[in-house]
Amino acid sequence: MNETEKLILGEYIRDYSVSDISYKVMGKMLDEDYVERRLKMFDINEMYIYGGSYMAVQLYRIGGKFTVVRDIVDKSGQIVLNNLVPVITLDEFRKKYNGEKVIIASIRFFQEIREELKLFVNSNDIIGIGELLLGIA
Amino acid sequence: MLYVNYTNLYENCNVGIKKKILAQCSTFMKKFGTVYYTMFAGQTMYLFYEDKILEKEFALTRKMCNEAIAKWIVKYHIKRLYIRYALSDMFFLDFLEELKKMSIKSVLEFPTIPYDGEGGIIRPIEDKYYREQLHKYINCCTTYANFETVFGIPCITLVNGVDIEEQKKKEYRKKDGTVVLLAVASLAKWHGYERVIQGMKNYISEGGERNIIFNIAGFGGQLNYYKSIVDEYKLSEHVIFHGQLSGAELDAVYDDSDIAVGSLGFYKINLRSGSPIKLGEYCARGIPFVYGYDDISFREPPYFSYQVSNDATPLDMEKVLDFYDMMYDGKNFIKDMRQYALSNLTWDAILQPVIDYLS
Repeated sequence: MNETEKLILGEYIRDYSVSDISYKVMGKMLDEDYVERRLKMFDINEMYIYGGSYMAVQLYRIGGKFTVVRDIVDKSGQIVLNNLVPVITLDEFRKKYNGEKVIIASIRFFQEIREELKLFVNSNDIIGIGELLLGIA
Repeated sequence: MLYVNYTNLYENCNVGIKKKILAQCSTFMKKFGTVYYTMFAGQTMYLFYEDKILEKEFALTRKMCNEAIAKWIVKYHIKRLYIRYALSDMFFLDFLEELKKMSIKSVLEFPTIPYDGEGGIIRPIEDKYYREQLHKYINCCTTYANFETVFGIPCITLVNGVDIEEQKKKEYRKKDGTVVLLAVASLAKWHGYERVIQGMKNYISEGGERNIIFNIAGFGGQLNYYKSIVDEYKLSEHVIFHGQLSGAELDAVYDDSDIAVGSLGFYKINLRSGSPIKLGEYCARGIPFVYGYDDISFREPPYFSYQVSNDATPLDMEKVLDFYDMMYDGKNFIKDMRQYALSNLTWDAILQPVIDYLS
């Protein structure tokens, strides 16, 4: 297999992994007790959720029962279920942000979003949704 | 040195693996100084030193895990690797090739060989194809069974080590006419404890007069199955399910039992030999044991053990009782068992050939 073919295969594996993890994360969020335990484990009293995906909406609904969700942040202010949850843009978030935890509710774009957030959010306060629900604190 | 591990050591089902990895690291530290280890959980690869997280990297795929490890190898000037095997793929081979180019001395540990019958292997064809190429990049492997080579790689046979300090010496149970068996396990199919339960049923139905109790301490996939046959055979007064025990509660159950039971279902996963940690723990505690496979920790089965067949036959309780009578005739076997564990089953002794290779 040449390098280009390896890269193509790598992309397929990445896509597969995104789907696999997204499925697991969505599944975990069906268990309210589990989500409550995980939020406690990461010592999250208030948080922003970054991402306009179904995962973000689900975390907003479940996580909001156990901690203060300041807002859902979406870069362009667009979100899959826009009419059901409040959402702010990245610029609005930058102005409002005051040291809370930020959960990145995107598996696919985690790295890109984290780099963007690191410009004004402490790295230790940025947590991936996979890490929050499946990782260790 | 770096101990590469790809499993989540914080999951309940991996408590034993974590204990083992930390014990192995502790032995390596005596020879090589600082030993880091890795683990994977929630799309994150972690680097640990002495149970503290030093680094973490987002890792969505196995390739990204290996990229994180390669980065830490450079950053922390790692010269030696001990890798706990987690199946082969193209990217794992690329990683091993890179290690070879970096002149990193590496040993690959196969926790189980053969493992083809085990559950949880998502892409067996991929692993079967790539594992045959491992020998191009790895010159030494270890496993817990008797093999000169594994996939063409020269192999050092290990046995599972025991932390003697952690295994409290058992007290002799006062004889009261009852014989108490004990199994401490995660209740997987290869434990095969239905053979004990069926053996008890046969013993009672054939008019056996001695009272036999079977303590089961643990929790796992076979629990409901065991409970169902205990109900079916009407043995609920003879088989006691304690759930998962630790500390003083576990010590008390050991003290209140006479004979321990090791794995009796290796045949279900096509294994003839192995070295599960449990027999070593029984040995360190000082409780004689029954088991049903070739255990390489006890190559010449010592007098305090009783080996039965590796198949589905119910245990012959008359023979188990004969073994009990032979053991409990006044001899001080607990002292002998502790000494056997000290001389043969500590990680320092077991890992010496690996240390020699990595030195």
